[in-house]
Amino acid sequence: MTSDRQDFLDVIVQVASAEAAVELLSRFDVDCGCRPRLWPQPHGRKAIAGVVDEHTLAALRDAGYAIEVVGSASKRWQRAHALIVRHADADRPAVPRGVGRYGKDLARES
Amino acid sequence: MTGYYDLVGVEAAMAALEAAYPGLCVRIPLIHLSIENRQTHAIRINDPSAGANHGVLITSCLHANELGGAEIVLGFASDLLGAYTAQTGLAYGQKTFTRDEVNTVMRSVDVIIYPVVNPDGRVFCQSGNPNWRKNRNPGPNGTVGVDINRNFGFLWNHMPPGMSPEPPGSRSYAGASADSERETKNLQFLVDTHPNIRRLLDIHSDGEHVLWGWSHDELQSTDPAMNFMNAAFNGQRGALFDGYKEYMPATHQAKGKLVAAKVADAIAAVRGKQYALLGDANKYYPNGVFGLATDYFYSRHLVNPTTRLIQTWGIEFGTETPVSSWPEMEQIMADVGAGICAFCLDAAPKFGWPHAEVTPAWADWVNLAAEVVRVSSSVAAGGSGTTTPRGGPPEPVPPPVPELRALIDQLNALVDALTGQSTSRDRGATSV
Repeated sequence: MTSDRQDFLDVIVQVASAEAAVELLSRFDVDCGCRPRLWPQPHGRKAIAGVVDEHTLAALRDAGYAIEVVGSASKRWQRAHALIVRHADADRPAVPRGVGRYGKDLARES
Repeated sequence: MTGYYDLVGVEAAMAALEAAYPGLCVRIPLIHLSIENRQTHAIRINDPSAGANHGVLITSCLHANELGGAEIVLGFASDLLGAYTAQTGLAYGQKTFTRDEVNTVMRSVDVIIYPVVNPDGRVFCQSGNPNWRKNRNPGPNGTVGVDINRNFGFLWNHMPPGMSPEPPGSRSYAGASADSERETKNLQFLVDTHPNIRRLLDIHSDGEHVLWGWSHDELQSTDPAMNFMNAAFNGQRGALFDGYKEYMPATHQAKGKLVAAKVADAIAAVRGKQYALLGDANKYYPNGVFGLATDYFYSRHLVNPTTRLIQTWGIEFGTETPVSSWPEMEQIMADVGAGICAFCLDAAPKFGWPHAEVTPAWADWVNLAAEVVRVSSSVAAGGSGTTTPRGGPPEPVPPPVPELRALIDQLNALVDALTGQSTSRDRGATSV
């Protein structure tokens, strides 16, 4: 989903039930991350949160789903890209430095 | 630190740990190069002078876009080795592990860490494709990539009723066949060449969850015939709230939940993050998922009863994939580092549950015997103060019944014989 130049959108799709959510995931390419999750909504409704491209968004709307676009996944990924590309190799110590504390202040603990 | 490791950095970090802590940290080369010819390593951390150890395997970055897993496990490795060498405790935020606990992990547990199971995916992810999840294995019709955590030979390519398998090119494509991927084979190699591995913790993002149990359906412990090998139930698995639930012995469910609770408790103690415990396919609600590494490795002892039990857990760290901001990631490293340390500590015989080569029937018997020992010990302890059962609140010690001593000794001997180790006397710490 990330290799072409389409915009990708973070969306919340309302569904009536778990069965309806399964049907949605079977018919449409909704990227739900590592785990599809069905979130409870007010008034007994449920929703799937995920990422869709513009074509899928249109298809979902055509199929009658209520969709809320909550953000741009493409922009979120651009921000992520800036974070995950290492810019300063020299700053990183050869031996990885954890975030735990040990040493004198914990020397007496046993 | 300034950001997330690239693959070269991950490999260099492991080499540096091996050089900095000779004998305590040893690199393990994985046997299969990736499809893009990349070599990966795991590391084994222990004090070999302490003798034979129980093994835990900690894996991360099966999914390329869950980058922080490598930072978490490498940071923990460095912390554990540093604290042990300094002979001090280890603290993450408000959570402290004592020096004795650090020593216990290093001297009685083989901590095997495989930081980046999916090397090609990580390189691609960090090269302008930040949401890339799969490996880079070419597929049919110009498609690329297999979801490694759908490729394992456990109900491979199954789908819930009404759903079709993911086609080539889709984000969770399970591959051309079960166990087809080199990354899958590498994990199998790692487990098969380390027969002391009894537990596996697979780290993913996101969701702030500690996972245990099956991933494809709900759990039950009353009908052993309702299981993934029984063809009579084909076509029913993966849908929730129907008649099918997957069998898991009650003892394994209890152990799974208990260890997950210990991990979550340690995480919460760092800065208050509450990771939820999710024990069955409801964690993938609205439908179960198939072909996961955790389910595969746990299922092996059921498919072939002569193989050892490997119980498995997972962590979904953080709230954002691909990555959190770096300051938040450092906090997550502390959270999950504490959880991993608690996981390793529980694997030590002194603190954890039995580690026998068990069939389900043996597990029931071992745990029943262990519970009798625990209660009996508290009775014999003197009748005042409290006893703290594993995973539970303090309970009053019942009145003394000294004549139980002989029975306790007999049961201790029985548990030791079943588990092959002298662990039973440590269960049920009594404070008076």
